[in-house]
Amino acid sequence: MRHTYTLTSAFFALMITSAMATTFKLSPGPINRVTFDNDAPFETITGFTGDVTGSIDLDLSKPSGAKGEVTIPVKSLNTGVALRDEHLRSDKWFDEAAHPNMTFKLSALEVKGSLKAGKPLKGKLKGVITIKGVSKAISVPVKVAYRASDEQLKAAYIKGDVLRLKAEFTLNIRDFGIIPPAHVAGIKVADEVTIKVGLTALSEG
Amino acid sequence: MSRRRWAVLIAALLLLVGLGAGVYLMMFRVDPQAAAADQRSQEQNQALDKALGLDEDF
Repeated sequence: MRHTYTLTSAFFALMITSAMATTFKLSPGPINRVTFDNDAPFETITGFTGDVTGSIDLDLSKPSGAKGEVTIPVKSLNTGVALRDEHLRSDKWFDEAAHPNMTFKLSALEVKGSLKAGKPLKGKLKGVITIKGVSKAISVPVKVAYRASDEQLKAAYIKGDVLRLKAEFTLNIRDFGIIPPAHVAGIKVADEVTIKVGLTALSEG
Repeated sequence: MSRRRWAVLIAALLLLVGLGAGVYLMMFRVDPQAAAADQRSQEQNQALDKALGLDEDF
């Protein structure tokens, strides 16, 4: 009897906890921005994408338990130069044909306290990033903020509560099996790439 | 070589260099639509950072 009572209590506790987590969805658009910078001898090659999909499940009172997944199609990477973008999609670089997407699986958001409107938090974003079929665990500094839906956001065509994450980190492309060729259309590139992420996920309703 | 032939040779070389530079620039010119999309994306993200208090150090 006591065993049944304990199991039942645990079940309802789990249901209540799950119910408090909100799903924030990521959709392609200018409210999302992921950029990458690579130093070449005569210039810094910069590209960006706003084509981000995925979702983040997060309890505002306990954001550290956040889980989620983010997907970015390789074909969306845009350096502003069509020939260069084509090179990036080739098998010498991201190999879009074999690995059409880059993904990030969020396993933890280490922040102190709860997320409240007007009070952004700093912490660590942890998860696994997969590029060209190679997965690596990363832990990077992050800033996260929340804002409940209001007329100002609606006027900017942003529907729903907003969860925004910002992070900046570097990756070595060789860690993902990308061996930079001697040049990309005449320009030598570095192994280290600086990634800047600005994600805006929206809750429904 | 006569002066005239030198002039023709130099003109041909300049033409080749000019054509080569033109082709190179056309292949690597930044697409204006892409540049405009990048600009819009930057502006929208800066506005969101401001709206959520992420534009200041905290």
